[in-house]
Amino acid sequence: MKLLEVKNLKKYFPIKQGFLVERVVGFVKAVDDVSFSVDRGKTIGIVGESGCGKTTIGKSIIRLHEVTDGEMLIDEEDTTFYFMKRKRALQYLKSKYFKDQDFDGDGSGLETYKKKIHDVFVKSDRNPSKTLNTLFENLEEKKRLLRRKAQIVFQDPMSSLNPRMTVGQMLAEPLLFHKMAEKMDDAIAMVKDLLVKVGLKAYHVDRYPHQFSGGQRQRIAVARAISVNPDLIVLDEPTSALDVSVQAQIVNLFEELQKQLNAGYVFISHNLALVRFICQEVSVMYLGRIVEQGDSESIFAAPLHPYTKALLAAAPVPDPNKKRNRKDLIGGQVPSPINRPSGCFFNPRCKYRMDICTREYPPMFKVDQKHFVACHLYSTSQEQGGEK
Amino acid sequence: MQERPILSVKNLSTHFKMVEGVVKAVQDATFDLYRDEVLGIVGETGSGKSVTVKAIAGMIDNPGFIAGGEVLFLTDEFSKSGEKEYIDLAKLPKESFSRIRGKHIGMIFQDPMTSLDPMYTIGNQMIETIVHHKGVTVEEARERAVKLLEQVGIPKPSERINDYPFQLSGGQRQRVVIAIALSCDPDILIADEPSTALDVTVQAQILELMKDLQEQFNSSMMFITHDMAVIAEIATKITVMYGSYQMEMGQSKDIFEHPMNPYTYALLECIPRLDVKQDRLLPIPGQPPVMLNPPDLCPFLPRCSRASEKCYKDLPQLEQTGDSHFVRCWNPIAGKVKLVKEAQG
Ligand SMILES: Nc1ncnc2c1ncn2[C@@H]1O[C@H](COP(=O)(O)OP(=O)(O)OP(=O)(O)O)[C@@H](O)[C@H]1O
Ligand SMILES: Nc1ncnc2c1ncn2[C@@H]1O[C@H](COP(=O)(O)OP(=O)(O)OP(=O)(O)O)[C@@H](O)[C@H]1O
Ligand code: SF4
Ligand code: SF4
Ligand SMILES: [Mg+2]
Ligand SMILES: [Mg+2]
Repeated sequence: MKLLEVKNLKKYFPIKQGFLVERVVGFVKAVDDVSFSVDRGKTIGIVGESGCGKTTIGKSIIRLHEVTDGEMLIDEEDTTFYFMKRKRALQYLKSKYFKDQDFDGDGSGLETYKKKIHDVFVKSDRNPSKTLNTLFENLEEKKRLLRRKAQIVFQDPMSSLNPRMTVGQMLAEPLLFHKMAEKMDDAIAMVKDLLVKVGLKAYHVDRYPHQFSGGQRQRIAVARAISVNPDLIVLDEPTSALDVSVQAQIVNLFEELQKQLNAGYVFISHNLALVRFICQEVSVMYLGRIVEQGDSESIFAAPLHPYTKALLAAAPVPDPNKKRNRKDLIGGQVPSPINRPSGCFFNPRCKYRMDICTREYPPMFKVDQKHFVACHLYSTSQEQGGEK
Repeated sequence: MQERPILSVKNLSTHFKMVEGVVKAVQDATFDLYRDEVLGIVGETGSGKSVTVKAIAGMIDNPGFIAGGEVLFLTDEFSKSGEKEYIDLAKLPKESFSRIRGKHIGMIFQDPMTSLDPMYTIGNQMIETIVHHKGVTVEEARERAVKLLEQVGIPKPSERINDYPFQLSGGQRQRVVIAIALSCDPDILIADEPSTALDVTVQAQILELMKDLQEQFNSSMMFITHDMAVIAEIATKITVMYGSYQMEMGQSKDIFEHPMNPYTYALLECIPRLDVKQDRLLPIPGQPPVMLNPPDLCPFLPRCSRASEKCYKDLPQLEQTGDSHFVRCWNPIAGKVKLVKEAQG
């Protein structure tokens, strides 16, 4: 069973202009039709240059913002509508599950669909008379569960830790909220165990964030993320603010914790070497879209998309005897996500560009069982295979 | 054996007097820089890389001060005979540095916006520098500026020269800063993390550009980075810093193939690599040092697996162990070490 399935995710940020009356003059298509999935105990990587939409994906997964479109399933349960306003949620449910039928948007006149709703949403051990309304009644509980199940660790630990709270106070809060501890005393005892688990000391519980080094702070952020036994952890550049000598400690910590929790990781980074080391699967992004996706070894050993090749050629290698592959290096820079080139977004920088590249955005081609690429060079491969 | 070094830094120390105590940012820095050499300074955050080059370029302000040592720079700038002679930049008055910095020593920093004035076109800024240092006419300076912009890969330079910095992308701005740094044919080019703030593909462009230019202009370069991979790309000679001290210095090849200091060795073992498949990263235990009032001992001591009794008593000195290999350590690693097994895939 897939832990997380993201289908055709879109997140557009409106660009507003105007002095007294603001109007929307366009959109930043930060994430535009992105699909991937994560298994328990596995790590998938998302790589790409600044602004390609990595953090936006991470925030979408843990619902720090509402998404523009797309679906998100956790343990095969549709969680897409959980954080939507009721009206929008109904619209979503209707368009997804009741395409051919009509019911009005605010939920009245739903009786006829009770049976179908039941089939779709209500588990068999529940009372079959329950309706869509029940679905919404349970929603608070479900939201809370989702908030517990999916956690995130950000790049800069200082900005995600409250400077006025001790480590104990900060970490006890989610434990109490998610009813994993009854009383403060129990929570603090659990926090002490957690601190030891992430390589800190139990007596650190009474200290404030500024009393720690960068690496230690990131351990605190990790402790907070794992404290509620999450199934899914989004790691958004979790080591890029750290010194290399500390990075390896944190990376090893992630790996150990993954074994213990059997959690699925979404690892966001622009450091290809780190991604190669940590991830079993990788998605390469360019301007809000995935351009290549597949199992880590085949992507790093045999990259297909000209952009992936350029990224790999650009990454320096710590060996003075090895010279970089200049042939695949590219010029220019990533264009603005507001004004994306027509056709393949990469075409202004691509030396393999063909006529079709400036006209049509390439579909995702399936090159083999575990390797997909959105590039017209591979048009003889099967189109749109697998999970896209 | 060879010509005289263009820069000879001897036992340079730079401290900051803070309310909480003295931050000994750089201690006992010692190295020579010859023509054509690219000296890479690598080390973690706070290890003293930037302060080292700022001290050389006369950019240490209160509460910082040069606490000792010499910065001997070979130049004819102040010479009466016209012959090149060594002057000690550590003792050069602040106001005389305008005759050195920007003219004989070009500087490139991490954030190009710190070196560019947002209020003036890039042309104005370049022409002013060239006129000031080279004493040529504005017309000649403009010609030279256009040529430089072309050399650093700015397309349509005669048009772009009228752009303001905000009209350029981050990568282009850094190219302009490089052009300005090169505009007076400096003897030494100092680049402090020039590509760190840039995107991966643009970072590669800037690195390739700097390598090409260094060959073309044949100036010496000091290149600062915290990234061992970047240093492998560009440096001919490397010095590794940790906690204000140079831990090791040698030819690039020697540092990577034959690291002698335990810190250098550990650093090479803990970085993830794109070119080889690794089963695990070997972390360095503990935390980077705090720079306030440190003891006069090896800064790596709390994290070092080779530490012996001696390390708790005295600070080791930077000792020469080979042709051009120096190490600061009581228990250096001897013999060649093979760090990573060769790539399987
Ligand atoms: N709240 C917002 N409002 C408007 N635009 C936004 C917002 N958040 C992100 N964006 C835009 O969306 C795009 C994707 O941003 P995102 O932060 O996801 O990139 P990223 O891949 O994480 O980049 P980085 O590597 O720099 O962290 C960018 O163009 C960014 O400017
Ligand atoms: N103006 C200043 N006032 C006080 N302390 C300073 C000042 N500038 C630097 N320091 C201290 O000197 C030490 C060395 O700093 P430096 O900037 O040289 O580090 P670095 O190696 O360049 O690190 P990074 O990789 O983060 O740039 C640090 O402990 C720093 O806090
Ligand atoms: S689709 Fe065309 S322009 Fe885009 S990456 Fe492939 S070859 Fe290049
Ligand atoms: S001097 Fe001692 S503590 Fe320092 S690096 Fe050498 S062995 Fe380690
Ligand atoms: Mg981001
Ligand atoms: Mg610095």
